[in-house]
Amino acid sequence: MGSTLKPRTRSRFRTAAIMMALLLGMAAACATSDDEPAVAEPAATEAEAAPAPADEPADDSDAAPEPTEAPATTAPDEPAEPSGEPVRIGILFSNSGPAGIFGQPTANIAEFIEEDINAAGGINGRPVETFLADDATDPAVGRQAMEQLIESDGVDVVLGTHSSATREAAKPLAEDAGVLYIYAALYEGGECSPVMFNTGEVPSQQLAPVIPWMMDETGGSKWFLLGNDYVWPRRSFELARQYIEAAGGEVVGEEYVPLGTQDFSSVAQQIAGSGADLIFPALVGGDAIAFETQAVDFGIGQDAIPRLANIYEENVLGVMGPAVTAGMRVTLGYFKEVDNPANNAFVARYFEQFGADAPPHMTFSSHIYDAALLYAAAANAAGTTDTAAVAAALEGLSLSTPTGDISITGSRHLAQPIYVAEIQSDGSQLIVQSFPAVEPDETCSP
Amino acid sequence: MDALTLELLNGLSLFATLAIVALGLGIVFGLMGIINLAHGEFVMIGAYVAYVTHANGLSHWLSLPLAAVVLFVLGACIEVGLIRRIHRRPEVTILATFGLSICLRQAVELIFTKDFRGVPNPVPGATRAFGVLFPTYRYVLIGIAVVVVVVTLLAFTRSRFGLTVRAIVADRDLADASGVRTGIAYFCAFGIGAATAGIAGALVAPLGAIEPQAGLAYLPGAFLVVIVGGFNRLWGVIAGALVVAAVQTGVIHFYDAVWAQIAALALAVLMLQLRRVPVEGATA
Amino acid sequence: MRFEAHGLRSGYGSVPVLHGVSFCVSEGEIVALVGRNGAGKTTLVKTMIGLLRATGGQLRLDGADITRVPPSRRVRAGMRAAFQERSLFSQLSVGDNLRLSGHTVAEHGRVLATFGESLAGREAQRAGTLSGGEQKMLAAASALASTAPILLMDEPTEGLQPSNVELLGDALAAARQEGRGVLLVEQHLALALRLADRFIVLEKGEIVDAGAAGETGLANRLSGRLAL
Repeated sequence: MGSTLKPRTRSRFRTAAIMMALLLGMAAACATSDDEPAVAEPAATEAEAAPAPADEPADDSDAAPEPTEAPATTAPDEPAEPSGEPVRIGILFSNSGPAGIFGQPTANIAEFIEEDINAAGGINGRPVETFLADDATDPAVGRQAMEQLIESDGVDVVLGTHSSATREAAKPLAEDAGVLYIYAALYEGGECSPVMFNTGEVPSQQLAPVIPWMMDETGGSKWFLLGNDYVWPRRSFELARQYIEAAGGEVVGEEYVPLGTQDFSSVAQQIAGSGADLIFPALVGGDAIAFETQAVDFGIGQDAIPRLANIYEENVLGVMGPAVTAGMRVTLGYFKEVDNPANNAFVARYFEQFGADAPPHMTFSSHIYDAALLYAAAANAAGTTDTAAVAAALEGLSLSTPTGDISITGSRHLAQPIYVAEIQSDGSQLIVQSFPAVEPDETCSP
Repeated sequence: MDALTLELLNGLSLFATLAIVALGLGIVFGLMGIINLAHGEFVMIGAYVAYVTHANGLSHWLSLPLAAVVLFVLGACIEVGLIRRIHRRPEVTILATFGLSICLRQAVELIFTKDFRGVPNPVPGATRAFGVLFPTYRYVLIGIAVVVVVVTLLAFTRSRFGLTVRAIVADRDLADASGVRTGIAYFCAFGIGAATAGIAGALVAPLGAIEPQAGLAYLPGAFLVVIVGGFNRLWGVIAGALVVAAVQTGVIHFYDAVWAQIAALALAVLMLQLRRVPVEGATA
Repeated sequence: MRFEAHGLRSGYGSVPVLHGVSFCVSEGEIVALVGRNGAGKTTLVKTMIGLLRATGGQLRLDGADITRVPPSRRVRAGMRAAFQERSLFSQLSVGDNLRLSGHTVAEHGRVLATFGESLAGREAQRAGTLSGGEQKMLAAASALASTAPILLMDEPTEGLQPSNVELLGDALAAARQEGRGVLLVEQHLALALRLADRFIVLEKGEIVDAGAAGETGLANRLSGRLAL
């Protein structure tokens, strides 16, 4: 009897073991969504040669002027080594799921945020520490991640680079807790909350100066607008239509496809039949790659109809390949090719620290870095990390960062440079036009 | 007239893609009664085989048989290591294959990172036929997909091997006692299902992005085809792909892609209502 | 070819059914296995073919130990069973059932004709739509038409018309003539008495009696064993 039992019991155990293994696998998958505190080094003993944020307020009233062990920085005064309880900076970002591809540069830049702010004396003499939380590109997870940052990690500020859906899900938690929330991702605009600042590019910035420039540059005037079906492309196209018409052009087609679209054959034919001589594709990730690679074979590649893109980034462009992308123009608030001494040094340091084949620094990580510097500057100016005081100090604050000159507007958005890059025949990006200090067309008075 | 020809060709290429992507899902579900939520990952891994083939400077066409072999081995291992132990309990297979899909995505991400990858089109450009220009690669895709689907279905419905698999599904004990090598047949069936998914992945690779999450996009379409085509008829994969492609292409033509997606989902709901999904795993 | 069981133990899950059964079936003989319902006859057949795992004892085929050999290899080695219940793949066609049993398409007509005309030409029909008796006939015909030297027939006459029982008896006798060994599980004593060379009586999982054809008083002894 005992021996009869054996094989069945064993196989049941085996099944259970496999299920456990799978659950562990799932747990491991989910674990990446929990926070991975970046290595905390409150004392910045390894400050790099990159320039410290230049516009740091000089009077750190709390910081005792003490000689520092840090190697020389280019800052005029050696700042004091920060000490005491760290200021906790939460970073809510997408490190898995569809937008997870943008995660690594942000995780890398979190190290720079600690290094650079601490090297410049920290915040009110205290070191900063970053806490990362992954929203897995899922608003529900994003809400939990925000809860973790606020409740468990006890952060003083949250810097966010993630979807608008996650922002909407997570914002109420920041509002209830009175935690400052700087949303640094490019987005559709319109956000306004007492705890929020929005420092990413909004469509009015990316488009208002660039659309007329594009028409001048190419001689085209008949636009086809093709976007994924959600709020950001729709808002972008709404504004694009205004700027196109104001510049004497016309919109000959406006199409939306669901996220995750794999077949663009019908859309390609609509474009071919529309008589368009310019295409504005607001497509993300795999959809962009599928559209552009398929479009070439339908005879509507960049050669035939020039593109102005507002999200195509390096990874996506690299997959399409120079044969497909050469000549495309992309409008964004930052490219690693931005040519100024501060940025050149910053980018060199990035690849030195994270490896030559690291996922490149790009507009999302750049805006998170700038948001951290803005926060540090405002908190230093306010002499506290109190949300209301820092928010007051943020309004009107100007800084010069590797991105260029930026300043917080009265609408709690960011006046910032806008760059147009043209893809070269070797696939590299060349900045062909820059518009300094472009004001966002936003209103907000919370 | 030309516009109509083009739409027909578009519909045909969509049909071929849907059919070959759904084929393995239909085989595994129709024959073995297993709802394989990791099917999309099999397609995704097939696309990565195409990427690796390209990265090693080999011809894209070589990636089709390579993907078939790689996925056959992977599928067979999964059958032996996992499915075989739980295939009598459909609810457990759903959970297990869901977990498997996550493991496969994570494994691919560990090896290849999250970055998008791509494979250049081996036959760029368009071919003039039927009075219109249509991308050459899509003609190739239609041809290969149709051949793979038809040959596979013939193998399962007409051959001794297919009969064996159906017998195992119908009554495993009786099949055992009839001298059928049930273990080998099951693992071949699952392996072949996975192999067709691999071919599908390699075949569509030059048309889009390759990334660890890509499988998630293939699964709903494949399920839609299987639902519309019928759960327990292998040839239903062809019928299902035909209906779904016709509806999608038609709606995109007259409305837009967003409505096409809604129409496809409505179609699935309608078919489920009409068909009344069998509670037990379906059999041939 | 000779099949032997030595001290065979088996059962379902944790419920033991056979408690050490020993017997043999040699070529050219029909061994009748009789016993009441629940005596363990079907368990014995399933354990012999390998669908149930022996939990003790040994099975030998031509001297080779097959106790741990899977069913498909036992079939290939020369054993064949026709089961009492679920003897066919009811969802498959008659023709597919025959193909699975190893018959070439050319042989189908001959197999179907074993019991006269009633099954002739019905290859395309789903096996599940045959009557109970027809299904038993088909299963028996399929086993008989195989070349297996050892046949296990689990109550093949159940549900058969008397005329078909006669035909089955003739076919079994012919199989013995060809030198095949048959284990015939029967509650139907008349057929067993007519055909069998030897008898085994199973009761509560143990062999309680055995005998050879021609022994005096055998029929009465067997009737007594089977009566309540």
